[in-house]
Amino acid sequence: MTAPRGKPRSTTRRDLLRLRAALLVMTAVVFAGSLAAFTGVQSTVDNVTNRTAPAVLEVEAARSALVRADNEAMSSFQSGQGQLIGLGQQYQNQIAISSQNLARVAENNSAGEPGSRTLQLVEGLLPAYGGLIEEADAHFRTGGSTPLGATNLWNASRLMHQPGSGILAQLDVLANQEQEALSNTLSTGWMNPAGMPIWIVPILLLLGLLCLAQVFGKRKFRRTVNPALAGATLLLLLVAGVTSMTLVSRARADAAGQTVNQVVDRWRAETAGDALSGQRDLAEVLSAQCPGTVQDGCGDTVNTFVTRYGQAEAGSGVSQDQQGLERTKPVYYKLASADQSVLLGYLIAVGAVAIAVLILFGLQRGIDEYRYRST
Amino acid sequence: MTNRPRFRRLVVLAIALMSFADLGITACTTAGSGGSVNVLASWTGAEEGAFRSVLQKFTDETGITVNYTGNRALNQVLLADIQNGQPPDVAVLPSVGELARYIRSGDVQPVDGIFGAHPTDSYSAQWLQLLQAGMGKLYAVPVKADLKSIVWYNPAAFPYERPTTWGQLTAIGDDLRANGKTPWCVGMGATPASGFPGTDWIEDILLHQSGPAVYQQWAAGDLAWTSPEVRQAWTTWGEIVAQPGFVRGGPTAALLTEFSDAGKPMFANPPSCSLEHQASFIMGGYRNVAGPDGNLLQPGTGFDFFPFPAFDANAAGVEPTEVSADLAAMFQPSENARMLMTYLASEKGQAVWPLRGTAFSANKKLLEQNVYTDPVSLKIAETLTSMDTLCFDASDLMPAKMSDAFFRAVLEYIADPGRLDGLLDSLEKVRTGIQHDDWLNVPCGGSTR
Repeated sequence: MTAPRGKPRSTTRRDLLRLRAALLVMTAVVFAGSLAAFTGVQSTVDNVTNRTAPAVLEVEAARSALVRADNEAMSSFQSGQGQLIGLGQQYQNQIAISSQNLARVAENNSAGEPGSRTLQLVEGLLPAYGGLIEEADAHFRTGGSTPLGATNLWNASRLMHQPGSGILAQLDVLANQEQEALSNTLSTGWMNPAGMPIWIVPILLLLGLLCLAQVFGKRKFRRTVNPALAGATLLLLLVAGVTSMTLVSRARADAAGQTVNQVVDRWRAETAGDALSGQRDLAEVLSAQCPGTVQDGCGDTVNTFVTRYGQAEAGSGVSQDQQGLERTKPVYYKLASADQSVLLGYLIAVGAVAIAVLILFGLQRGIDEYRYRST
Repeated sequence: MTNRPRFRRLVVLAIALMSFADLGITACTTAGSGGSVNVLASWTGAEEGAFRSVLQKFTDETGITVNYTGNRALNQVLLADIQNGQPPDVAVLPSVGELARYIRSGDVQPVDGIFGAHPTDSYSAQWLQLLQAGMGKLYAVPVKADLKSIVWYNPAAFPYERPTTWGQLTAIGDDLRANGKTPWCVGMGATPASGFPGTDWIEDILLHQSGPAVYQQWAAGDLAWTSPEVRQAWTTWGEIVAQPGFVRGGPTAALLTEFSDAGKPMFANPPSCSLEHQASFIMGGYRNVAGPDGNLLQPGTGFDFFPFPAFDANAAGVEPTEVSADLAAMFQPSENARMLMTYLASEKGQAVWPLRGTAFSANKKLLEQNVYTDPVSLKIAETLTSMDTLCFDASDLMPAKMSDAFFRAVLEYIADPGRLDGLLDSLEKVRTGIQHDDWLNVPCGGSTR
């Protein structure tokens, strides 16, 4: 069925073959670009939902639980309840909750080696804090409010609250590291607007080629419209529509990221407010032990602490368990709305295959028609 | 045949591109020809800034990039890195105890030769002996050093001759007390190592009362806490901390006052205490205290020190001295790591801390270079570099379980000195419960009596 030797081939047929090849190659590029963009964005949204955002929020939850544990301990010693019931169930519960939170942070850590190191530091300091509180408990149970019991409490509190190096400060560092990882996740790879041309440009080029094919058909075959190519064009617009859902996902994931930051800021401020309660109780314990003047007292650090927290107003006292659940809801709601159905990915694949079939079908008749012509 | 010129052009183009790429690669390689070194230390904040300035100068001189990581959980991070098979090239350890443990586990490499052909030109024989950590080879560079066996006072409010013997010191305390003044400023707060100022007291008393040999035996876990020597050191300290009116604010204030606050009342008007036993690093805190005239205290006029007094009047002035140091050690041997260690040991690497007025160097050549700009710093540096016998802080050498118990026992003793025998029994139980291999035998540097 080949053309007779020596006889020049039809240039129209050659052009049609080239056009078909270009359309098919571009369809493959559209398929690859669109599917990669869709799965890339979906995979990022999935990563943020299941790993990066929880890592940030779990750090804040751990922070909050530790502050509540610290408050419980200080309150128990300040009120004298400790002599009878020790540290109390609430203290133990909050310590257990914070351990679970930190275990989940370790599982979901997105901040790499620096995050792991900060977590190691926090996990190294927590037993020391627990040891000091238990020692204080032993002293308070046997002799009430003793200097040594107060010293252990003070040391425990310093370990927890010391600016820059305390457990809470280290958790702030960890939260910042996880937030940075979240921000990077939401701004790199397929989440970066600079990646959009990778799937938009092939779609526009294919659209242009399909229009060119229609014009070419109209000139050569006097057809107003090639129905198969028109169908391919419609399917391409459908694929473009599905792929553009990644823009929606990206915007929603971005919004979720901003909500995470807002939640963290609010949560941190509330935790700081709640911490005042424990600090005020400790200030009362210390002022009972160090009643002297500044000259005879327990040094500048203790005096400043007692002055600052002795009259502090505590936080809202609203059930923080509920607050914890309530405050993370908007984050996960936004992330859920950013998560597109996997079926859309299949739709891109099916659409691309159908475009290729329609291109083949739409141009085949013309190619066959010019098989034996010389022009 | 018609394709041949095109083929030639392609070959020429390919060669040109390859040459261009090669030039680029060569240029990049030349720019970073020094390679890099990974360094781990515990310093963050201002101290990190100071150390980074040393590292930057090293990079400027050698072209070797230094990747610095500062983490307060140095030991945990270092252990994890070693277990993962990726230790840093160089780590700065906070005590000789840590260094000796890593030498023993084979993780630290010797650094013989980095101090030059004549090491004693820069470091005293005592320091070079200490840096061997009892292992027979040089393993570390002291990045910064501190003198511990000293007592601080306010020259403007201390109308006495500087005591050279324990008897003179206690006589001054008695006189101050008789005049309605409180002799001692004491503060044990130092989270998470509260109690360390008290352990320094006991160590210094034992070192001066019983000598370096007994001190070394005790630090190595070979002397019982219930021995007469150790018990005597505690009761001697009790002459100060257990005497009513001898400590500002009494035992409660001593327990709750932060070590960094303890000496400040010396500079109040009138002072509410007169003497403080604390290491040389406390100078950094004193410099930030405003004197009665509102100006910041100046070394020499605002504050000064005298060496920890001798118990034997004949030994005054030739007593052993307790020191501590941050030590850089090489974990991954390489030419770049050795070059960094050599730089850290040199005068250039050592000068940064003294120039900031916050710490001291064991390198005696710095004394000739006028980096110590005040008489007190100069005196400390001279003592650090010239004393006959230097001993590392014993609690730094003890296993963590023992030093923790020591810190706690100090606090318990201040709260209730009557419990001394019970506390020593408890400490002895901790000592005997620790395996012998976990103890370190790091001799004092220099002569021992």
